[in-house]
Amino acid sequence: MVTTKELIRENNEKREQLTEENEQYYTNMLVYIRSKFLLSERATEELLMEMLEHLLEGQNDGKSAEKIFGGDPRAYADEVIAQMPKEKKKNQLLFGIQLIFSVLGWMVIARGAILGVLSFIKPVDEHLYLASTAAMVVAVLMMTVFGVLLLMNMVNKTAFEEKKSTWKFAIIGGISGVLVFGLFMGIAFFFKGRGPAIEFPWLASLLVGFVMLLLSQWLARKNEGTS
Amino acid sequence: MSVRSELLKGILDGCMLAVIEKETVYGYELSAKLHQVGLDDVSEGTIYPVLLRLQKNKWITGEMRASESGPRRKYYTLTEEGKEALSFIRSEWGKLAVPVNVLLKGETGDGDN
Repeated sequence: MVTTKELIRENNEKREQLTEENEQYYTNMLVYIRSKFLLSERATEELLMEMLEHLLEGQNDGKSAEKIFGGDPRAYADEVIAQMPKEKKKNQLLFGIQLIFSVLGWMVIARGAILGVLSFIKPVDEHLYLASTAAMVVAVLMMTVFGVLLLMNMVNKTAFEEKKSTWKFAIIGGISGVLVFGLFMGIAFFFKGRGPAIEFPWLASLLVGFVMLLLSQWLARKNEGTS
Repeated sequence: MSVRSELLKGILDGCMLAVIEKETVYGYELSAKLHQVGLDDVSEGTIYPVLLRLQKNKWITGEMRASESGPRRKYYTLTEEGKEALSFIRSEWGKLAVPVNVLLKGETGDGDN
């Protein structure tokens, strides 16, 4: 059976055969449906492929996307979404764990790399303070979830806008960036050296980070296989 | 929306099941068949939400295959439950169509059709 990833790749290739007008109509709908949270990814991609093949065949017969799917693409997409199966709970959980491993992996790698470089310049404190670390991890994970939800929501809201207002994205992105940076600096400052300390050298940090990323990759592949 | 498409809405599930019962079809084919028999004011896209609902009810199953000519298509087949549902819809439609014809057309209703 064809994998979901292959369907996405094929979709990208086949979309190029659409006329400009049909491509616009179809891509808006694709973005809108894909950005809907918690829909089964497999079912989403199968449906998008079906609709694309239908549109291509209709295009050959001289029909427009508007004729096939109607004059109100958002209403039509909502009608379709209402009938779409949700992602299985197990896959949602696997995706969550995968995201956590990936975020933590990069965090730990970044720590290892920074300490590693600094250690050549001056002596560094290679201890991990449990309370400080816990605070930082919770903050980063919460920000990640919040950021992903915010982004998906914005993409969803703007999918059918005539002129994609990139400046809106830029402003919201910039403000969130500053806020997040400030939050992290605050945590780093107020939670400095709190809790019991354990030694965690920079090289070990790099290694653990890589293992976490590998685990995340492995989970992603496992998830792909079952959905 | 026209009166005709309003009326059709309630029975479209049955019409689509009947097409799929005859042979395994994919989306474009299905909409073409509906148009051929004269149901030509359903916009083609209308079939996709219905197909999803029929799959959710387990009345049909869809299988994604690549056809020989290239396009990747999802072929739909009726399940046992779908056959039962269709025969139920058929009998319900019969109970409705006969009296409605009597009233609207002035047919006698005791004929063979």
